[in-house]
Order: sequence, then C-alpha cells, then structure tokens
Amino acid sequence: MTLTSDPISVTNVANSPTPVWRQRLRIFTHNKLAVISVVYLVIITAACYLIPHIDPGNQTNQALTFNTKWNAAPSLHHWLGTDSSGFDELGRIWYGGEYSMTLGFLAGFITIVVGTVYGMISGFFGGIVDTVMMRIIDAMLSIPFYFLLITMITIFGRSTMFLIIIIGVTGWFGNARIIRGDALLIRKLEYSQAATSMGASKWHIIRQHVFPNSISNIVTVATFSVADAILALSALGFLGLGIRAPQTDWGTMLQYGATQLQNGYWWEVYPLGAIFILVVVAINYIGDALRDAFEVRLLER
Amino acid sequence: MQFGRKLRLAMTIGAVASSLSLGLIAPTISGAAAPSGTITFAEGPGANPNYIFPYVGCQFFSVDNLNQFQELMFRPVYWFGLAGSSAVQYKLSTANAPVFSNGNKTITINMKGWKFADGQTVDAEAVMFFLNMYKADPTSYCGYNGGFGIPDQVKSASGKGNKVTINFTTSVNPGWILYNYLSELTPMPNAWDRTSATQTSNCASGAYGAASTTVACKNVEAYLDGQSSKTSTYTDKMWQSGVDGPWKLTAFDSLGNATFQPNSHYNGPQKAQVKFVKEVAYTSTTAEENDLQAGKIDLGFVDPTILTSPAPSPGKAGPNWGQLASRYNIITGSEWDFNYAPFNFSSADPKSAAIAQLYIRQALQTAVDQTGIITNVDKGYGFPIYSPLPPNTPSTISGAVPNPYPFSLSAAKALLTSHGWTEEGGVMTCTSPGTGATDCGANIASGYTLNFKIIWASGSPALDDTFNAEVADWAQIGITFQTSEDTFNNVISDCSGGAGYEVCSWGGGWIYAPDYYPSGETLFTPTGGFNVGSYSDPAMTTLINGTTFGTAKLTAYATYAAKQLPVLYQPQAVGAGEIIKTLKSSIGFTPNPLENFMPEYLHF
Amino acid sequence: MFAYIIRRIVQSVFVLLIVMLVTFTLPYFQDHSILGPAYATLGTKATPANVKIWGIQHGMNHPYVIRFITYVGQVFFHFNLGHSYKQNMSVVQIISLYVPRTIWLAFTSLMLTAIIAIPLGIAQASKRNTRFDYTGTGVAFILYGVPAFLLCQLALDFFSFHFPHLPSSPPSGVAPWAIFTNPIGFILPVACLTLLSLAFLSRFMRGAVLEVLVQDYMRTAKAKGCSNRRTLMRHAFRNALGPIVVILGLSIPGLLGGALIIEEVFNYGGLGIQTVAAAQNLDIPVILGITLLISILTLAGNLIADILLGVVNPRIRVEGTGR
Repeated sequence: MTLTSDPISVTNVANSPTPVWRQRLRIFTHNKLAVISVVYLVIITAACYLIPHIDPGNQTNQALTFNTKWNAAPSLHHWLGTDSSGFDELGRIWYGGEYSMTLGFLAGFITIVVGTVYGMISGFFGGIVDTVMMRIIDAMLSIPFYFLLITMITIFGRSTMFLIIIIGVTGWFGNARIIRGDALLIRKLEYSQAATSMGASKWHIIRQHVFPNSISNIVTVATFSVADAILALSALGFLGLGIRAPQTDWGTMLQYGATQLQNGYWWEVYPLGAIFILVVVAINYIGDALRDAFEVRLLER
Repeated sequence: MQFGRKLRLAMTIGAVASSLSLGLIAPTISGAAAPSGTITFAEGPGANPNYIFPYVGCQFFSVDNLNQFQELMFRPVYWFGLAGSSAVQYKLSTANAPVFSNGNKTITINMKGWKFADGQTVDAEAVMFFLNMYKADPTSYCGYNGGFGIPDQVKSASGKGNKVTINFTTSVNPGWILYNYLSELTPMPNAWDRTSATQTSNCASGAYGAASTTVACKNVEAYLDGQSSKTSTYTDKMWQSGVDGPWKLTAFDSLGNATFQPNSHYNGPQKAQVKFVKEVAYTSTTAEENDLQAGKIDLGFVDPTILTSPAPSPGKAGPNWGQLASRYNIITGSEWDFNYAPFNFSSADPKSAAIAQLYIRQALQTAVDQTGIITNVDKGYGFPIYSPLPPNTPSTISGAVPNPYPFSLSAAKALLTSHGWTEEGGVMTCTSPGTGATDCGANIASGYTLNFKIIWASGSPALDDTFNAEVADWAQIGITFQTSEDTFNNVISDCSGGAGYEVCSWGGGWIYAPDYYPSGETLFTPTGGFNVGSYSDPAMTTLINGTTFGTAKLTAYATYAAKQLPVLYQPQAVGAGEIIKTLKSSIGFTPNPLENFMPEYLHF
Repeated sequence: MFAYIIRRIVQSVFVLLIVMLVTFTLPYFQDHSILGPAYATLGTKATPANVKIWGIQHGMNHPYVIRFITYVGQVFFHFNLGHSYKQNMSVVQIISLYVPRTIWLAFTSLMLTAIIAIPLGIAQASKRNTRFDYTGTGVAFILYGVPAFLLCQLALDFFSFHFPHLPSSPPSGVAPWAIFTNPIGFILPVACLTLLSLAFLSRFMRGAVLEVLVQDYMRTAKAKGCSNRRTLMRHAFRNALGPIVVILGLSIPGLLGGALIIEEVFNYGGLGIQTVAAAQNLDIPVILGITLLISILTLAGNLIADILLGVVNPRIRVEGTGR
C-alpha cells in the first residue's frame, strides 16, 4: 500500500514538446519541501554509502566489542554512545543505513518492474487474460502482506539476497493493479486505437504508446515502493527477521534500541528514529511532488 | 490542641505496636489458618501449558506442560529437584527409595499409600497403569529411548498392593535407571482407565505385556489424548480425580491462563499455604516485563540483556533492573542442561579429515572465549561448559571435571602451527602433510585449508552475537568460517550428513529431561538416538556402557568427553527471575535446575 | 444484477483456490525434506523413528497433488481446516478463539479511523494548500514514515511508564468482549492501530474528494451558486463514497497485518501473534487456516463493496470485471 491517492491523470507525455518537462521541473522545484527532501536524501544516502568505507571502525567484529562498554552514553570517542552489543552507535547508523537503503531501492525496483510488466500485459490484453491475471492479484492482495513475508522468510531464510527478492516479490501486487488501470485507459485512447487499426502489433503498441504514457505514473509509484520496502524491512527487523548479525539494518537497530528505551538509553533510538522517519517522509514527499509535477490539470492552472 | 496531638500520636504508636506483634506471631498461626492470598506466576513467552495427560509425546513435552503445570497436580513416583538441587527427593515422592537386588537386575518400588483426590490409594496398580501403557505404545511417550531401560529392557513387571517389582534383562546402573526411567513413571488413577465417558477398561489391572493389555491401553491412551486436546475438560471431575499433588486445577482457558487451588487431600509434607495460584500466559518477554513494572506479577522473569549492570559471576545475580529494584528481588541459578554445538564427523562432509583431528577440535575449543561471551553477550547470566555434565552436577553421580582447554588464542594458534600449518592470506594451510607428530594428519594433503562452514538457528540475537564473536576469534587463529543460519529443524539435519557444515548449533544444547541422568548413550554412541554429528569412538562407548549397565560414576566418562571434544562446548546462558519482595519461602528462592514450580512452599 | 452477483461469487471462489494453492505450495519450497514440520514440532528429543511415524500420521508420505486435493476437499465439503501441529487444538478452535479478539481490536480501530479520517480528508481537500492542509499532510506523512513497532513502543514508553500510567496490555483472558468490560486496557493498542491507518485513509479521502472537486459538474454546481459547504456535502462526499467503500474493504488485510505488530507489542493474544508463532514453528495447518480466513473476509468485503457500487452505479456492471 502506498500513500498514492491524489487523482492521477493520463497525458500524452511522449508527444509533448520539451517545455512541458521544464514546466514540470519548475513545479517540482517550486515545492520547497520536495527540494529539501531531495537534498536531505542525497546527504543521508551519501553518508551511508561513503562513511562506512572511509572510516570503517569496528562494525562487525563481535569479539572486539568485548573490550568496549555496552550501552555507553555519548562521549567524545563515541559521539552517539554505543549500542547494546558495544558497537559505536553512529558508525552503525551509517553501516546499517547502507543495507536499509540498498535493500529498499533494490526491492522497490523489483516491485515496480514486475508490477509494470504484469500490469501492462493484463491491462493491454484485456478480456479473459485480464480477468485471470487480476483475480490472481486479488488473491495475493487478500493475504496480509506481513503474513506472506514472514512465512516466506521462514521457509527461504534471510540472506541479504533472499530478503531483497522476498520483499520485492511480495510487494508488487498493488503496483500491478495501478499500472494495469493505466494501461486499460491508454489502450482505449484514440491514438492507440488508431495504431491498432493501422495494423500495429500489440507489443509495438505497448512499447510505443502505453509504456511511455504511463511512465509518469510508474516513476511515482516506484518512489512510494522504495519507501514501502524500507518500511517493510524495518518491520522485519522488529520481528527479528532483518539483516543477519553482525551486519545490521535500521529496523533491527531501532528494535534493539526500543527495548532499551526504559533504561533511558535515548541515543539508541531517537537519533536513528529521526533519521529513519525523515528518510521515509522525504521519499514520500518526493513522490508526491513528482505526481504534482506530472499532474496535467495543475499545469493548466 | 496539644492534648489532641498527643492522643493521636499515642494511637499511632499503638497501631504500629499491635501490627508488629501480629507480624511476630503470624508464622505460628499461618500453619493452622486457612490458606489465603494469591500468587501470580508468569508463564514463559509463548510457552503456555496445553496438555494435561502425563503420558506426553514430544510435541507437548516441555517445562511449561510438565514442571510448571502437570506436576503441580500429578506427582511422579520419584520427585526430582528442590530449591537449588536437582537430586531425587524421597520425601516428596509417592514411593520410598527403590530397592535393587539380584545383581541390579530387579527393582522393587514400595508405594507410600498416598491418596488420589477421589479417595483411591496411589498404589502399585496406579503405577502399573503407566507401565502397561508405556509397554503398549512406547513411541508415544517422549522419554522413550529405543533399546534402553523401560520398557525395552524390562523382562517382566508386576504390582500387588503397594509393591511394584520390575525385572530387567541385564544389570542396570541404579543411578541411571532411577534418574532416567523411574523418574518418568506417574501413577494414574482408575478413574482414567476408560475408553469413553461411560466405558471403563482394564489397562491398569491387565497383565504386563499381555496382548489384551496392549489393546486396552492403546484405546485408553487414545481416549485420554483426545480429552487432553479439549482444554475445556481440564477442570472436569475425571482429570481432577487423578490429583495426588498439592494443587488442583480450578480454572483454565485456551490461552493457557490457569488457576490452582490447594488439594486438601494431599499427603505430602508441605501443604499449600496460599488460596490461589494463578499462572498467566504471555506472548513476549517485553510484555511480561511491562507487567512486572506495574507490579502485576509475584514470580516473573526478565531477559538479562535488558539489565543495566551484569552479574558478578556464574550463578550469582547482579543488581536488579532499576525499574524493578524497589519491588522485586532478582535471582538466577543453573539449569540441568549443557550447551554444545556438534562437530560434523560424517565422512560425507568435505572437511571431515580436519574435524577428525583432535588437535584441530582442540584449537577451535581453545579459541572459544566462554567467559567473555558470558560477560558481554549474556550480561554475566550464564555458565561456562567444559564437559557434557550440567553445571552444579551433584557429587553423588559425578566427581569434578576440570576444564582441559582454557581460552587462549596464542595456545590455539600454536596447536596448528606445531602440526604443520602455516597461515597464508589469513587462512591456515597445510604445509607438512603426513601422519607424524608434527604433521597435519591423515587424509590432509598439502594445500588443505582450514576454511569451514558453520550454521546456527535463526531467531536469537544472543546466539547471533555468541557465534559472531567466536567466528571473529577463530579468524584470529587462521580458521575462517562461512556463516549461515536456518530454522531450528533444518539445523539439526544440516550437521548430520554431507551438507557441508562442520559446526552447527540449534542454540539449546541438550536438556537432561525426562532422562535426568547426564550420561551419554543418546548423544555419543554410534547408535544413539541423537548423535547429530555421527560421532564414533569405541573408548567413549565403553565408558558410557559402564555408566548405564555397570556401576561406574560419570566422572571418567565426563573427563574423557571433556578432553576428546565430541562436540564443541558452548557457554550456557541462563535466565533471571524476579520475585516480589513480600513473598516468603521456607526453601529460599534459588531457582530449581529442573525448573520445577513448587508454590506450596510460598506464602506472603 | 443477479447474474453479476453470481459471476462475482464464482470469481471469488476461484480467487480463494489461488490463495489456497499459493499458501499450500509455499512450504514445499523448503530446502530440506517435507518432514521439516515434524522436526520443528517434536524437537530434539524425538528419535528418527518418532519423526517418521509422525510424518505418516500427518499424511506427509502422500504426494503433493493428493494432499492438496484432500485439503481442498476437507475445507470445502467438511469445513475442516485440520489440526495444529504444535498447539493442542484444531485450527477451527484456534480461529474461533483468536478471531473475535483480533476483530474487536481491528474493528474498533477501523471505526475510529473512519470517524476521524473522513472528515479530516474532506476538510483538507476543501481547504487545499492552506496551512491546515499542509499541517494535516505533514502529520500524515510522518505517521506514515514511522515504523509501526516504533510508534507502539514509544507510545508505551510515554503513556504507560511515564505520565498517565495507562495499562501496558489489555486484560488477559479469552473473553473477546473485554473491550467493553475493561476499556482502559485497550486505549493504547486501539489508539496506535488507529494512528497507523489514519494517515492512509485521510490521504486517500483527501485525494478522492479532490478528484470530485476538479470535475466539471462541481464547477457547474458552484457556478449555479451552490454554497461551498452544500457542494461538498451533496456532491463531493457522495461521489467520493464509492472509492471509500472499496478502500475500506481492501484495508482488511493491511489492518490485520498492522494488528500483528500491535498484538506483539501489547501482549494481546490474537491472529497476528498466532501467525508469527505458527510460521516460526512451521505449524502449516494454522498458517493455511488463518490465511484462508482473512482472504475470505477480504473477498467478502470486496464483494459487498462491489455489489453496493453496482446497485448505486449500474455502469460498473456493464463494464464488467474491471475495478
């Protein structure tokens, strides 16, 4: 599920002249929050991908942490203290972030690719193909997402690769339905009907007309999918099914921190909590702003 | 004004004085007075009782079903464990000490003649009921060990009056048969000898081993198993008429919340002192800890990882958690189990040649920092394990076993370098193949590398931390491990064949229950039922046979097992209990190693 | 209309079969033998012989196809969902024990969510791009960004241990109506579940009303001189009602998924906790049974929503399968 809820309209993007893009960029940059979100996301992403490699410190050697005090308060040596295993909290935030971000982006990517292909085929071919394909989506959507996720992880294990695949594979059903709705509408539009009457093949129409016309929608949905994947991974962390120790991810760290909340170890929850929530909020804002930028009726105003 | 104040002061003092005197004489009164008060006990997270029938299969064989539920009502023939001891307690048993005769081939059990709640005597027939059922369908009972003890080594058994006689086909070690098999027998009343609500049967009175008894017992077992799967029947007359323990069950719900009240017919030495014992089900440790903070529980537990300061030494609790310190006392103790990770000796394993070498196992064990893990991962709540004996094993069954391989990374590395290994790119590589004293050993060629695979059970952060620390230390001595994890069930099968894992752990080691005797016939003999790593050593088998069929103590076997490393010994984490400060006990609050819950000793 | 309903029901049964096929087949992908559940159930004390007997008792020696057909037959013709491996209860017993508990929790939250989110969404849409709208959007986004478990645990820490000392868990016991007899214990879990679904529904509502507002007939209505408020109530709300009915039906799985985390944090024995435990123990009949039940609930919700919509708007019936 995503926050996608504003009306989504269909426009003939492929045939639009360039200024529309510039106009859209202007609308996007006009949205100050969206710009702030992009800047924030770039900074955090850069930190997660660079800091662990520039200044690795001890992130994974559990035996070395025996020499460190666990749950130590912030100090000059450990700016955000240490966690319950004795790892440096700040270092772990960037280290875990690398995993959360990578998994979020890759799993989100899988959901959008699978969802788009499936939705396009279903929406474009229509008829019995569409009915069967959509009933399958109905079936999968009627199983609670977390139930499916937990069962699959129990059965397939939780290596990093499987986590990406499982979050991806269990998350695309909603996307497929959105894209299919799009494809259905576009197919009925005059120009693709015209193309059909001119003898163009179905695949040609999908490639040349349907896909380019839904690209705006795909990009928006993709953005929300990434946010959802990051959230799903964090929920897995809560259930103890996140990235395997000694590696970590944000959800697992937050869960460990939250159990220590009552001991007053604020440094294990609040800094990371804020970073995490703002990352998800930023991604969602960007998605929202993208949709506004693609929204043709807003362009008119 | 002044007068008034004085008067009030005097009254206050008077009130204090009278309550003091009441407090002083209270202990003498409480023995005679009707029990009062309610003890609330927290069940383990997700571990709620759900099976009332004492003839229990492996899926229901658990501390929460037996030690903390059934045994409050249904007392076994021989009771094990009281306060900090795991030894047999004849005072609490329904029979006097067994008499061994005929060269340890015959056992005579004399029942004390206690009463069931419905008035029937807890006599030989009640014991024969269990024995007959065991003989009729042994695999349905989790304590069954094919080929050993009861019923497979029993030649004949009979009961008359208060006397049960069991004849064995061979001599048996009295300690072994008492701890492992006599401990399992639970007398069952004739009220249970039925195949429907109205139809009685003759499983209890039938002749031991007769075909008709087998048929009768199987039908009775099926009926009782069926009744036990309906939690609504638990407080019924049928089940409760079998009560010979200090407590009877008066309320039970399917979530596992149970209420016990004193059994006024109990014949044992310690009668119940409170009116109600309530067991409350929990879904998670956190939820239970929340209730502790609200003061809702009298006997609870905390996860030691939440404690802010560690325990000083194994078996001693540290300072209590700040949130609970004003209301609760923290306790800890040893458990009747030992933790280990099997080595894979199977010849199908690609690295079996290395595992077969004692000095390599020794290097691995020497590099396990048990003390460090206990202090840092388990917050001090744990015991180092050096042999298959549980911590605090009574001297009556085994002498002390020293730790042959104390932690030392340099010693571990020296073991390898002195056997022809050279570190190349961080991995020990064999550079001196051969079978000489300074060579790598049989079947190890030049260039053989010590890179292994380890798998452990998923779901426990502490287990993850433990093995990650060990893997990091092993890397220090040049043995690299590729790590992976799987569900509990898969881990067991992974270490038993050619799956390619040299070390595996399901995280729990081995619990000596219901086979209380810490002997190794199940674990370390080639035919053992749970020899996961396919370990085989004739010398070990000989020593084990001495402890089961001979009369040897466990000392020699345990010392040999400590040195030979049939498995990799692992630190044993233990829990921490919380006892509300107003609760009193005449036997103290040291947790029982067998995790028995004996609320009859408790009062406010 | 009747034919349409029949067609939808037939499709729902088809969908249900897919759900059963997927959930039944998943465990077969274990990288070890199908006896995995036997080991998981019996533990370390079971001998290989025990495991084998147990496997035969539970029909594990039959081939996959036979087992699936048997299962489907049992479900559809005997309403028999099997017996739990690990718990001493039939799956139907487990469901009848925990479903009411979870439904009360979820249903109360759903009602509260609807009561708060629908007016909020309408208000936001009608005051689009004002400070009020931005605040609402900001709060919704943050609520949406907080991991559910973190929100619950923070709420627990603040309201249970620091200031008002609300109970940290609903009362234990099987009575599903405890929500009436002891409502204070339910404040925190219900509030958390409501907050979690609030963001989604209010955003959805805002969007749905907005969609109607920009449509032509609303402009006409305005041009005709209808007051803003009347326009909203009469046209916008009524036209946005359709999507809301659909989304409420669709939110059942999400709500129950959210309830899983709430139950875990607040120690409330319900379907969610049962599912997690069953997955960890490979208690396959329980996983199958609960999944099937929730699917049926969801499909029934969708079906009712579709029929309602079909009654209101006959055009949908003509268009057929699409939603």
